[in-house]
Amino acid sequence: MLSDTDEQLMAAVQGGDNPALGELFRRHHAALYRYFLRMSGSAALSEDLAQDVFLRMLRKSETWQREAKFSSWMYRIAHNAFIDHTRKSKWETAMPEKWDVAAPAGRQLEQDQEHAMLHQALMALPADKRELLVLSRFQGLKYEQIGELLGVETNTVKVRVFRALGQLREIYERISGEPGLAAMGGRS
Amino acid sequence: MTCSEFAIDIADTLAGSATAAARARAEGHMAGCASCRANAALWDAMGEMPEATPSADLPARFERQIAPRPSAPRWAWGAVAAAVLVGVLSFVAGRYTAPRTETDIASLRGEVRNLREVVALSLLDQQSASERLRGIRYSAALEGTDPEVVDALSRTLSNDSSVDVRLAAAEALRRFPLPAAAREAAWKLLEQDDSPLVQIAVIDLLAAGKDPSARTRLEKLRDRAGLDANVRDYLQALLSNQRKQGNQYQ
Repeated sequence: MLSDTDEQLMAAVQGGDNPALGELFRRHHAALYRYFLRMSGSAALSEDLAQDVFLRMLRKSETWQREAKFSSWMYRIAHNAFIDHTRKSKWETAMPEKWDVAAPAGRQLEQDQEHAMLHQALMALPADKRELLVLSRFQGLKYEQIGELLGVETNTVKVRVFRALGQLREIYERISGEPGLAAMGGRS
Repeated sequence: MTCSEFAIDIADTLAGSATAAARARAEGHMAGCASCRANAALWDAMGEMPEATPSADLPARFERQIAPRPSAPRWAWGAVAAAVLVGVLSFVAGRYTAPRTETDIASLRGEVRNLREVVALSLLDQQSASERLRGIRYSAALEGTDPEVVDALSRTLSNDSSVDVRLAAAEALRRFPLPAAAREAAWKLLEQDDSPLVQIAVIDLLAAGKDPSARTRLEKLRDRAGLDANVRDYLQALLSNQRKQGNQYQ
């Protein structure tokens, strides 16, 4: 089972093999957890939603098409799970400004502060723009995959990522009180 | 040329997917544009943010959710099938052999209701989470209040391994007046359940009841150290709304 591809494992899940879903969970739960954490800011909620995605896979396994890339399907379900969650709870705007996870130890204070401000700026972005940056920068999805996921052209994704990044910078500068990001050692 | 005209080239360059020509155009623009250089620096900084990791036991917890549970004994399904058959035969026989009276009709309705309860209880005991969800939907459609169904839903809310099922059970229980034991089980669950979604559903359940001590207990819960920040925000909003609406618990 360990040498099987994601797609082979998902085919086994369609055939009623629940342990195959356990293996898929082991492979992908950390990435999904980080996606939800960047989107929501809550560690506990992110663990719930990561599990929810895989339970949805079990319930809707017949909707997976064998020629489809597993990770694209997984992120589509995750995207829908997050939308359902925010619709159900209607308290997205009341999300905490800080993560409820401890900052990693041993990092330099200055860098920690930059990261904390950057996180705060990300959480202040509208959810749709935040998701574009989370998927492209943190989750490593290609623009084509994001386009498929959101149902838009690849070039549209690129333009939207560019704009979201600009908006993120404006928010970051308001939070940090400094214009530009020279302190971050930007590209020349 | 404006920054927007380089949007695609810059996005490709940042992601490392640009052609040599696109990269040259993007870098040429960024060399003279402080704003786009700052955007690129921000992109780089995002890549240096620390990566959080979920709890080490999350895979084990998930596997418990999908693991097979002891299924209902075969006789239980046999009993359901037999009850269906008897119900149908009684209905058909009654329809064609004797004039229907109000008492007959009431009796038949009672039998059908009992049958639905048996089906709901059997589904709640299934190994598959989706079957248990069906059981909850079934029980929510029942007329009247069967203490056995309320008790089964309360046990499901407290003990089910699936967050989805616990959430659905909390929702279904809102239809019924909660007996004291089920209410106390829900309060206890608030202390123990580690899912913020379930905690919020249970808070809604308890807040919707007529327990005069609910407000005080919810306030105490709100102030508890270690409570999930989202749950605390939700509780705070709920309590403020209730205060505005005239303190319905006092």
